[in-house]
Amino acid sequence: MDNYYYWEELKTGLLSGYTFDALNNAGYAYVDAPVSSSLTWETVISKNLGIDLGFLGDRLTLNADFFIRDTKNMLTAGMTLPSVYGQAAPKENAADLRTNGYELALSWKDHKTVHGKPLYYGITATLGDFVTVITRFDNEKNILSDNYVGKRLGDIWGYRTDGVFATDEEAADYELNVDSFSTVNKGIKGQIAPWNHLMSGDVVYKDLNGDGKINTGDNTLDNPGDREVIGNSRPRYNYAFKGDFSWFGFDLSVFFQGVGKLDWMPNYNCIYFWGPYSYHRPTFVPNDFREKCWSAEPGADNSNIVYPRQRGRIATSSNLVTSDFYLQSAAYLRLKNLTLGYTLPLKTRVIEKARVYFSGENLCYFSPLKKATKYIDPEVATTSISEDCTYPYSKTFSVGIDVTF
Amino acid sequence: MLMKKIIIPFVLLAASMAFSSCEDFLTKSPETSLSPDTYFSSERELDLWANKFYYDILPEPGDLAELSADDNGSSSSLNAVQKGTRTPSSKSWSADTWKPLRNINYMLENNKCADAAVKARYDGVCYFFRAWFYYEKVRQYGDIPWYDHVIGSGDTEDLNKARDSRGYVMLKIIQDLDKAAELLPARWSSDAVYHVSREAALALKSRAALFEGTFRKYHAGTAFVPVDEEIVDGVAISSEYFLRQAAEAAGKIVGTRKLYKANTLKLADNATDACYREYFILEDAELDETIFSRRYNVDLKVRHGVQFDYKNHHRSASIRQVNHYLQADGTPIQTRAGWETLSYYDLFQNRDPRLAQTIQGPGYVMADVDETTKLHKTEQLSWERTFNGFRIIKYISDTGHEGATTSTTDYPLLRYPEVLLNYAEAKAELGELTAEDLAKTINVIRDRVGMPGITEVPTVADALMESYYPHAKGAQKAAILEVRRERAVELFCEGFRQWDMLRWGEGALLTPKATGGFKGIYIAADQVGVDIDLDQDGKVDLYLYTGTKGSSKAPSTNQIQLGGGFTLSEGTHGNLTYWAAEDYVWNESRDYLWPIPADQRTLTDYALTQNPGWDDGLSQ
Repeated sequence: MDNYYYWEELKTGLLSGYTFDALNNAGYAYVDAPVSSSLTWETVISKNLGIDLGFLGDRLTLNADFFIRDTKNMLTAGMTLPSVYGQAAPKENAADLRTNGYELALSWKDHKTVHGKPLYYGITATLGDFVTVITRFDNEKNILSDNYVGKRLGDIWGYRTDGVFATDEEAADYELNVDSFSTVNKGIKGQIAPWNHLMSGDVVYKDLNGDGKINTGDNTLDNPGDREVIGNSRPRYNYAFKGDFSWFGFDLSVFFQGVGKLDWMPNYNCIYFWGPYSYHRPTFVPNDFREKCWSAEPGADNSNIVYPRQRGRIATSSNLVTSDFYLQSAAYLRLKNLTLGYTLPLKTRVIEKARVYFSGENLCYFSPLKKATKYIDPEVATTSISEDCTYPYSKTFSVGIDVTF
Repeated sequence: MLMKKIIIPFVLLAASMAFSSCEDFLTKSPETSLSPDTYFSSERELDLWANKFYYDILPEPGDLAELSADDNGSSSSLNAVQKGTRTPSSKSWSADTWKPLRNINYMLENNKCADAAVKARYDGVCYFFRAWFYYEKVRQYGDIPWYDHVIGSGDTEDLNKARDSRGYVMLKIIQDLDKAAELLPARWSSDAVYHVSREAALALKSRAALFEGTFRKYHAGTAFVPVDEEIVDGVAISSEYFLRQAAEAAGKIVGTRKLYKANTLKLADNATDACYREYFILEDAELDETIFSRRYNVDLKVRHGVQFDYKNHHRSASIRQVNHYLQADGTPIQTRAGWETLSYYDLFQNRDPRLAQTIQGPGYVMADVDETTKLHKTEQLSWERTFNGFRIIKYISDTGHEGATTSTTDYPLLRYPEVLLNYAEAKAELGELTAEDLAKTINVIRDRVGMPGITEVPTVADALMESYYPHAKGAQKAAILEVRRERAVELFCEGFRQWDMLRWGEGALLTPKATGGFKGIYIAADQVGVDIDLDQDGKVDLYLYTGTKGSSKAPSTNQIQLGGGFTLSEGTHGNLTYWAAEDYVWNESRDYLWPIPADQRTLTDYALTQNPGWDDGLSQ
C-alpha cells in the first residue's frame, strides 16, 4: 500500500508537449489522486481445515486442506463515479470478499524388484480450486461494470451467438429486423460502402431479450441487455502429476501441470489471435490463419471456423465485443519437466559418482485452444499483463554430466 | 483401510490487529511534498497550475486541420458524423475529459495569492478556459451539467445532477468570458501571443455566442431548441441575444489589428499570391493577425504531425469548396461559361488568389528551395498526396516537416479574420449588416489578397451559394450567404466547417450520400484511358482507366483505375469522385447532437437524459 493513500498530494512536472518560450517545456502542477475521507484497515480472517492421512504403511498419503477466507474492508477502487467527478474514483475500503477453496494431494510411494534390481517409484497427484465471491460492495443498482454482491470474481459477461449467416439474404433480413450497428456490429457499420452491411459469414448475435436490438440494456444485473455470464477468466481445478522412478542406475522424473477449466476472451491487442481483424498491418499472421476464417468460396468447408467473414479491423479496441463466438477454453495440461538420467556404474579413486542426464522444460501441452491456434500458449494468454500473448514459454532442453570427485 | 495417523483438524483464526492510535496516523501529512493547503500563493505556483489548462483543453493542430467535412476529406476514412457511426459510448465523456474542469474549479477555489493583481489575472485564465471547455461540450452535447465548483466523491447531488439547458450553460460561458475579458491582461509580459489575453476572451466570446445564436436560429422549434426565447437566471436569452453578444464582443476587436501581408519566403512574386499561404507555415506565430497561438519548437521536440497526416491521408478539397472561391474580379465562378466542366488548369485561372494558396494549382512551387538555383522547387501533383486532384497545401511547409511528428510551425487558435467574420455574420443574421461593416470586415480580408471588396450590402442571393446552403434565411439572406462564402474560403481547414454546417442546419450535406460523394477535378469522357497533362506544363500528370491498364507516361502513383473507390460523377465523365458509394442517410431529427454515453446515464441514475433520437438501449 502506498504510504500516503489518505493524503492529497500536489506534484509538479514538465509538459512534454507544450512550450511557451521555446526554451523550456512548460512546467505544471497537479493534484495526485483525490482521496477518500474514510479509510481504515483491511482485515483478513482465514479458517482452515487440514487433514493428513497415511495408509498402507504410509505408502499412500492424502493431504487435504479446506479453507474459507473472508476479506473485510478491502482497499480497492470504489463504486465508479459519474465521469463529471473528473478523476478516477478514490480507493476506499469498498469490498468484502469470501474465498472458498481446497487443496488435495494424493501420493503413492513404493518399490519393487524388476529384473532383479530394485525399482523405486513415487507418484503424486494434486488438485486445488477456489472461488471468490463479493459479499459487500456499495453498488445498489448492481451495475455490471463494477463489483456487485454475489459476483464471482472472473465472471465474463458477453453476448450469445448463433454461428454465422449462411447467406446474404439471411444477413439482410437480420439487419432489417435487429438493430446491431451501434453495438456489436459497429465495426462493420464503419467499413467502406458497400461492405458496411451484414453479409454471409458475419456473426449472428442472439437477441436474448427479443427486443429487436442487440445491446447492453441498463448494464445492470436486472437488465443486462442481451448478455449473460458466458464464462470465467479465473483458473479452476489447478492440478498436477509428478512421478519419480529410479532403477538400475536410471532415474526418470516427469511433472505435468494443468488447469481444468479456464475461459479466455482474447484481447484486441492479442495480435497472434486477431491478426488483420484487429490490426492494419499485422506483422505476424499464422500460416493456417486463412483456413480458420469463414470463406465465401463455393463449397468451402466452414464447419470448423474460428473467425467470421474476413473483414479488417472489426476487432479493434473500440469494435471488439465479448461474445461466446470468440470465447476460448484455455484449459491445458502441460508437460512442464521431464528428466532422464543414468548414473554410470563406475567407481574410481578419483571419480566418486558420474551421472549423465537429459532434461526438458515445457516440452508439450494439450489444450482445446490448439483447435483455434497453436501459436498461442494458453498459460501465457491468460496470465500476461499486457494481454498481447506474444511470447510463449520457450521449450528448454539440457543435456549434462554430473561428476562428483 | 488402515488409518495410521490423524492429525487433529486445526483452525487458524487470524484476526485483525487493532491499532489504538490509527486516527492520528491516518491524518499525518507527508513532510516532503507540496500540499494544496499552502499552494496557490505565489505567481509561479499559479502559473504552473494554469499551464495544464493550455495543455489539456486546447486542441492540437490535428484536431482542427484534419476535421473532415463537406469541404475537405481524406481517403483513409470518413469521420463518425459523416459515416453515421456515433454511438452512446463514453470515450468522449471519460473522467479524464472532465478532469480539466475539476482543475480549473480547484484553482478558483484555492487561489489565495496575496497580490490582488496576480490573483485576478489567474482567475481570468480560469474563466477563459472554463468557457472554452464548456463551449466545446455544448457544441457537442447541447444540454450539459454546469459545475462551477469542485465535486467531492460523496456529493451525490452534484454527481447525479441533471443536465442544465444549453441556454443556461451558454449564458454562463458568456459571463465567464466577460469576467475573463475584464481580468486578463491586454498583453502578457513575455510570449504574449501564446497566452490567453483580454482579446482572446473577446474573440472566443464572439465564436461561442455566434455558435449559439445561429444554432438557436436554425434549430428553433426542433427537439434541439424547443423554444428560442427563454428567461434563465433572470436574463432573457434568445438567438438574437447571443448574436448581439457575438457582435458586441467582436466589435471590440474589429479595426484594432492588421493582417499579415509579408512575402518573406517568396513563394510567389506578389505578396497577394503568397502571404496567405506563408502565414500558415511560419515557424513562430506572427503578431499582427494572431490573437492566440499554440507554440511548437524543433529543439524541444514539441511537434505536431499535420503535414504528415495530410500526405498520408491524401487530404483533399472538394469541388464544393473550390466553387466558393470567386473569380479575380469578384464575380462568382458560375458566371463563367462552362464553369461546371472547367479543366483543372482553367479552374485555377483568374481566381481569388487564396485558391492557389490553399490547393495545389498549376505552377505550384514547394516551400523547399533548390540549393544551386536558389529557386523554390516544383512538384508534380501526386495521387500519393491527393485522391481527387485538389491537394490541400495550407500548412504545407518544406519536406523536412513531413515526418510523423516533425511539423514545428506554430498553430493559430484565434486569428483576427475569424473575429471579423464572426462580426459580419452576427450582423447579417441580425439583419443589421451595413456597407461600413463590410468595409471593416470582409473587405479587409479580401484586400490582403488583392480581391475587390463588397461595396454595398448584397440583396440578391447568389444562386450557387443558395444551393449550397438551402436553409439560410433572414432579411439579409444574400449577405449571409456572402459571409458564409468568405468564411469557407478564409477559414478553410481550421476546424470550423463541420460545426458551421451543424449550427446552420446544413448537417445533411456533411454526408457523402447527400453530396454524391467527395468530388474533385473534372474529367471529360475523352480523357479516360489517355494521358492527361493537367497543368499544361508538357508533362503527363494523370492516367485514368477502366478495365485493363494501357501504357501511360504518367507516374505510377498517378495511374488510377476507375471503379472501386474512384468513380466519375456522371459515369463516363464528370468530377473524379471518392466515397460515392457511401449510403449513410443523415438523420435530421437526431444527428445534430452527440448521444449521451449510456453508462453515464446509468451511473447517474438516469439524471442525465438522452439527446433527441438516440436509442441507447436503457430502460429509462
